[in-house]
Amino acid sequence: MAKVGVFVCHCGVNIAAKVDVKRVVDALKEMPEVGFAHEYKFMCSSPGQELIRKEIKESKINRVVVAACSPRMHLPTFQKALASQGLNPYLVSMANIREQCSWVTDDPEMATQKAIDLVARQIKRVVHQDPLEDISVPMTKTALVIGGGIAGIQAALDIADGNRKVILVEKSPSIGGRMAQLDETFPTLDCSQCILTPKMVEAAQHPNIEIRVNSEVKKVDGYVGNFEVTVEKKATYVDAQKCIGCGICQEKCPVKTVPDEFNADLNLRAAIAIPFPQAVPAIPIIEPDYCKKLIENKCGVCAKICPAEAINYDDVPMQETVNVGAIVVATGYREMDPAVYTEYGGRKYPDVITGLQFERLVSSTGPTGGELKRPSDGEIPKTVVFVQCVGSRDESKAHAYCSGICCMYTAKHTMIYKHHVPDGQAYVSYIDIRAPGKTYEEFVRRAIEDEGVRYLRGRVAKIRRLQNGQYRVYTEDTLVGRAVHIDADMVVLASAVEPQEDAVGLAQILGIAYDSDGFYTEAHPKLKPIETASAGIFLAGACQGPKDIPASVQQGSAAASKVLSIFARDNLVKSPQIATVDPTACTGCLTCSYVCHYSAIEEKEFGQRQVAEIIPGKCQGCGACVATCKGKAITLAGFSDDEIYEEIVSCK
Amino acid sequence: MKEMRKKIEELLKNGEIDVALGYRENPATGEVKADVFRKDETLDDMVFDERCVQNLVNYLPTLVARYKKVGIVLKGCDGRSLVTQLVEHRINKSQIVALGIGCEGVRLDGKEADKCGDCATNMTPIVDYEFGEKKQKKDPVFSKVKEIERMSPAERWKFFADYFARCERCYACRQICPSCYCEICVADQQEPKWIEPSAKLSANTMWHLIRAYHLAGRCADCGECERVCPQEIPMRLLNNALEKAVHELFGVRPGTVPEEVPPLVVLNKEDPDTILEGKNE
Repeated sequence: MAKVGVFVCHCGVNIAAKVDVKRVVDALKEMPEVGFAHEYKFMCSSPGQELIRKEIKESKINRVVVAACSPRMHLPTFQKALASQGLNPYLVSMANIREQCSWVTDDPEMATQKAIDLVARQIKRVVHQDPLEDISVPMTKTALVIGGGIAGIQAALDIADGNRKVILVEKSPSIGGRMAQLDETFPTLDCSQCILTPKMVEAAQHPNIEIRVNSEVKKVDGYVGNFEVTVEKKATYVDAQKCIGCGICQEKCPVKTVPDEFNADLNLRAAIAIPFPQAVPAIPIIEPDYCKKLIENKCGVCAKICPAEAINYDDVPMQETVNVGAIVVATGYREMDPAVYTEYGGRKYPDVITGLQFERLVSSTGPTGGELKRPSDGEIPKTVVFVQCVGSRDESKAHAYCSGICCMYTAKHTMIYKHHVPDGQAYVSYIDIRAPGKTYEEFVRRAIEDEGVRYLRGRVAKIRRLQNGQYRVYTEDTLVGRAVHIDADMVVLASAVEPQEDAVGLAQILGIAYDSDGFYTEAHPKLKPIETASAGIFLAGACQGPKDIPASVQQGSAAASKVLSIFARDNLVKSPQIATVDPTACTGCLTCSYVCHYSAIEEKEFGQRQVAEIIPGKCQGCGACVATCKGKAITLAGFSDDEIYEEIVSCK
Repeated sequence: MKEMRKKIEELLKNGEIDVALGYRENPATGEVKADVFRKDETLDDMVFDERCVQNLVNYLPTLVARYKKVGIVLKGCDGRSLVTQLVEHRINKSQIVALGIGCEGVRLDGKEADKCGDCATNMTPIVDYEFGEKKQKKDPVFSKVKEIERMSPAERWKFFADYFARCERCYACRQICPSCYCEICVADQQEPKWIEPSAKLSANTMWHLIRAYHLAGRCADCGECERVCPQEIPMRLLNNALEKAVHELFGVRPGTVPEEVPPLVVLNKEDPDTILEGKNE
């Protein structure tokens, strides 16, 4: 006979200010299932938990209902309290009388009545709850890191240093990501590649890291501890095992019409190329859309001159399935195409460039060898206007969010500019200066005070090309309240940070959530910033939202520590709240197997027929099969029809 | 028809099929009914015309349990019905020989059956031997559903409530439907009792809505449920409303593509995805 102990929490005044807790307790005492009902100021506190322990011992209650906050907050707390007294932890249920009651009404009478109903429902339900035992399953202690930018590299290195294997999948031909494209970094102005390339090399040489470039994740099955991931390596037409990276193919290739992605499309490169000098691995790939041999079966120069016979025009994409226990998603960001800002002439005027293009223009590995020359005529720009918030904080045209990094990199750009052109003048058009990082504000002040950069508060209205090749930037200085215009030789647009083009597609493959902008959503904005809602899948870097290098590195390390803490256990302890099939009720239509996201459902013989069977180790308890089974042959432990039905029919 | 009869005779004779499922005319009354044809009989009374209303697929599970190989005469709608049965592992294709016949429409109560108006395929999508003329597919109109959609919610509720109130809960609709085959029907479950067993409006409504929802994305619109209903409840309206929704969202009509898994139980990247994106269209 079930005897329910009921504990109603005040949560300080969070609940008690609206809900008459004493009345709730008195009303519930009348229910025949209730053996004991009590109120307390903070049920989650040590004395609160002690109350539960004491009553289990003394009043011999064998089911517990805690009326407090969301079970997402404190269910584990109370489950432990039960377990400590030898009572099965799945015999507790929580009624949420805070988020779903006291916080959402102003009327104390209605709040109290609703609280009574909510708790009564859980009392009816808990009687039907069965004791459940945790499931222990083995796991694959190899991690997958998707994205070889600084966040992914950091995560991979930390996991590998923790003596676990890592597969680092990178879409492009080299790891390094956006950071490899940068010239110098704020707030110290150290050379980006000088601090990044040692990490790239370390990752490449690490015995625990396997780098797979030119590869993409196509399919993810399974669950935390045991993911099955299909990785596709695209056709590169160069055998990485044979190639010695001499670069002669790149030199001799007659097709020099491929926009150089690494140089932000500022120049054209060969159809076979190593993406940049410090690339890891330094193996070229052929662009099939440009290569004459692949398009019209002519040329073939690279194959003729390759000393290692590494060219293979018959290369095809290869798919391989890898088994991993945890996944770090670090796919980074892309720079917004400023073409939507027609009034700025982005992508139309040659000397109106983006922040990333500016990085390449001043980089020693860039198209000009590090000399700052403007793209149109190669002249040294004597006046440069830097326009901030192009696409950021501008809901009408692009994005409502702040891209976070542009204030800092624009300050950096102005300094780099002044170091290249000491007699030049830099202007910055800004809305607000956002420099909250360590030594960031000082950095911006340096640009303004030491380098004489002129900051004008206001949004640029229009940029017009003049007869003399200059650009007239129409803006305003809101601090003095007047419209101004500047005739500049070059304009740099701080174009917004955007999720990668295929971010949503990958999220759907991974089964993780994303926001309306396409950035991946963390499990909790404050308390679970690394986790996704899918167990075993973690986020690092700008794929989650705009981030600078230090924050990306931090998150990479944080994701690694999450992965290592999973791998530190011998086995994976799984919730017993999984689905099971009643073979006598199952018709064997296997519709459940179509909806199962975890490939947990297989066919098995049952007498003369085939029925569905759920593999306990694979089932994640999502309940999709339960909902899809028309014959109600599937039950989810902890959410049985009895439990749900009792909750529904006890609604008044 | 002659050709088909000859083919079936031949298949029966050389043992490629054990029995054939088709339509038999009673020469005395002129009635046409589903029946099983065997090797040792002449097929003179086997017919196929506008009187062949019944969906023969409903008889297949019993026959494939008894015989190794069953031939079946299929109209377009019955063929779609067969596709859904194959996808749901009810029947194994290796046990079936599909004899498709280009359907010219069937007649009910002296006029063309309503289901023929929006016919998705006059020829079965799964076919081993094809007879008659295969017609070009038309886009569905769903004119009756649209009529219902034009009503106000109150009018619509009254429209259906009047019908649901008449339901006797005889479950003829369930028994005749090839896709209604649960081992224990939700309407028969006692613990918990999701649907009250006696015939009253609230429970009847529950039954008709669950029945229709269970068929969403699966109903091939053979129309048998509505044909057998003794109270003439327009059940196809509910089926078609869901078919229309599935067609608008996924561009799919159930059963028209062999081996295609119903859109409501698969997740495709191309699916309209208004929930995940947080948009509400």
